[in-house]
Amino acid sequence: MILPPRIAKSMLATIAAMPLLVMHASAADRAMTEQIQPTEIALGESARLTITASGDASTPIAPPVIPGLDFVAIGQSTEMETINGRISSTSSVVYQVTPQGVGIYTIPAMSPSSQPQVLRVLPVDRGGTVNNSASAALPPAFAHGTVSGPTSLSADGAAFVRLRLPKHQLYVGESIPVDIQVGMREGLVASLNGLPVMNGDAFTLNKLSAKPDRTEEQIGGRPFTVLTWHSELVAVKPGSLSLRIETPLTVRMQSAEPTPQGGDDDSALGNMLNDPFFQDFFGGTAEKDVTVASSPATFTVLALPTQDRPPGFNGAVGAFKISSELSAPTAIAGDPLTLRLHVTGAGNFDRVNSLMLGEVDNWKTYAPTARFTPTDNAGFEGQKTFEQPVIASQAGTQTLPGIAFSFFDPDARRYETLHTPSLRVAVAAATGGPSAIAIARVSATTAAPLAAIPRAGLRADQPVNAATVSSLRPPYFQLRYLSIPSGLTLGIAGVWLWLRRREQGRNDRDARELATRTTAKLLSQMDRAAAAGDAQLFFIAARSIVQRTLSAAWHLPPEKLTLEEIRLRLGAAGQEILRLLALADEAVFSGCALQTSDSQRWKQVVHRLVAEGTTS
Amino acid sequence: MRARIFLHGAILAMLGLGTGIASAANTAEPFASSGYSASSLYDQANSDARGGKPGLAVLNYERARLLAPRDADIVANLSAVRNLSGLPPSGESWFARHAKFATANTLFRLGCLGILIAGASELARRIYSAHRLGLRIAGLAGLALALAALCNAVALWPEMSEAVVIVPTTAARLAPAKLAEPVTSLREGELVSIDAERPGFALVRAANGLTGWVSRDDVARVVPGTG
Repeated sequence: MILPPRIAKSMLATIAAMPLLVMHASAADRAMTEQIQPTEIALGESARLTITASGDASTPIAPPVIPGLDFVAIGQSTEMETINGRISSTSSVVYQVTPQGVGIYTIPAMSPSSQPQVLRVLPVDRGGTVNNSASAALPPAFAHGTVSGPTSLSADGAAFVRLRLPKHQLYVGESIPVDIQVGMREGLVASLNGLPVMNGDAFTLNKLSAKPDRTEEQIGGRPFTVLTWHSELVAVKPGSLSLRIETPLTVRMQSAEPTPQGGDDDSALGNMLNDPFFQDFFGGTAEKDVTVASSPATFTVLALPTQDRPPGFNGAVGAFKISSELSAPTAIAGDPLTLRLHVTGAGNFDRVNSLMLGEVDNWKTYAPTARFTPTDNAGFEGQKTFEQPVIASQAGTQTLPGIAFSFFDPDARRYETLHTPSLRVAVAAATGGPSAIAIARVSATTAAPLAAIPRAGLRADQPVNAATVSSLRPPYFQLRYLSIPSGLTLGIAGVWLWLRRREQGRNDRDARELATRTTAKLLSQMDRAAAAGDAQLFFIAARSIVQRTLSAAWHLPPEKLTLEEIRLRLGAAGQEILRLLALADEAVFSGCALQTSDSQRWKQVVHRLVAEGTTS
Repeated sequence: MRARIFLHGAILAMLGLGTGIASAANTAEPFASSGYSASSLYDQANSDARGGKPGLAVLNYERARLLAPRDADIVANLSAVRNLSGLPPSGESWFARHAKFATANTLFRLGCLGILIAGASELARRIYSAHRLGLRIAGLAGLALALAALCNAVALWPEMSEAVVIVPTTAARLAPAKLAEPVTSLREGELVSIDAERPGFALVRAANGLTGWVSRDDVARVVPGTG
């Protein structure tokens, strides 16, 4: 008998669940405990969290959702024992816990009888050792404000995202502190898959910390874990704008598997199989990635006024105060001092800039550096310090002029320009060498006495030379300069080759003219020998003409020209030439007589050869 | 006759072009506030040294030395800072010391001029039968100038990969990862050569021959932009 797949699956599940069914029926309350080992690790290491559930097996074991911690299940075990007919079970799941950042993470208690677990994650210093010095936590930038819109839960009620803002009207470039809150129900949210992000390009949001504040909150009688990020929001363009924050989550949902047909829904087996324990056991719940969004927050963003804008305005918007100081109360000509400008307050510190002092008579100034020290955890409030090395070049009473700083005050709705007082410094002449003792004094209302900088036995500064180069890379290794010697070499080589070829052409022409003249001379000699009947002279001249003509035509030296070469190159057409050369040898050695008819014939052969050789 | 006129014209054109462009290597540098000069680098290094930043001081002295290799102040202060920081004196080979008898820009221009002189002498020797000895001597002098520039380039080549440790101490590791095992520790101001680079890390070779990966932010190249 073949059972339908659905019935077969149900039967199989029933058989597999029989022991657990007994346990399920007899189990009492389920207690959960967790233990993390070790409790202190370095960033980059992992700890092991063991969650043990005993008693009621219907409660599934799931890892807690803690931002900054990754949980990966690496082991699972279940023990069952029967004592006096009472069956009890203990299930354990071991998770590998990997932190994403340093700090102290608290894993909340999973049942009233258990204790929360604390995991300390320490930074690793440059030498590879763990740094135990815990940094003091900064206070939040913003603890109050209005929630933008109602707290709207996601469709399944598992999570919400909301914004807390201090105001809804701001200027372009102005930064305001903002709290982003993500609420999640324990057990329904499996994981937070990323940091909250904005939709739209009208605002910028400072980088969110990987370690938000964690609180508990009741909404509609249900407990939510609320994570709060403190950040800064900056509007980048004017107009009536809205903003939503979205967060990706993974939620656990009941699987959409249809229940058995035929009125089995309310059967005991059906109820038991719908229990979360069995849902988990047979995969009854499913995880789904969703994106939860906040209610839209509306803003009126105003453009910064162009009227009365100071020339030194760099975009700083907020409320600031400034002060300045020199690093040392004493100075010697040639010794560096550090001029510091402190800008304190609240606002967009990333736009707080100062060029400090430019060229000042009797002072040498260097490019300033900046350092920002926030006093809240969003970087909205704090102090930015600009440091500029300055060196007095002449002894006497020298004055460092005051420094101006301009910003826009959004509350007063106007530009402000602040000035530091000028600093008068009495500078002593550097006559005592490296061990000279500073004898000058700094007089200024804001100057704070700090430690003097030693001269360290160094030779004095040099007057700045106006001759500069745009790159420290030597010209040999810069392509644009390397092309100069390359081009020169190529040009010279080109001219040299042209000259050589020209010389060669001239030599060839001279050689050809000489050969022509010699051939003409030999022909004349041959004709005279024919007329005189001198066979020896005739054939010698004829042979010489043949050799010169053929060697010139074949680009061979005359001594390389052999009978075999002539036979191979000319074939049958060369028989007359070969015969002429043989007669020439014969005439030289035997002195045969020359007949008139013969001389005419051989003269024609030679003249024809010369004519053909010249044309070829 | 025509060839001689052509040759004279070509030599004069190359001479003018070569010297013009070569001198532009120095004089026509677009100098703004971003330009380098030996004195400003030296003064900056002095400021760093007095401010307790030996790494930056060594870096700027080395940079200044590129532009003025025979400047006694730079050499003395670099030596003093290295000595105060407990670093061994920088050993330079006999060849490198002598090949850097003038600045790279000067020797580069002399090298171009040498190529011109040697080339023009050889070309003239092909045309003129007279003054052959004088032309040969001029050609050899030109070759000597070009050789001096070539030696200078060879001596400067290793410095293209040199860098200075600019943090108090940094660990050179087996692999380009923060958690990799340290091989050795490098001190501020130490001169290393960069053999390779990965995102965030540089493979450096210390003076003692040990190699390891350090954080890219912990070292600064003597010649910026040669990575």
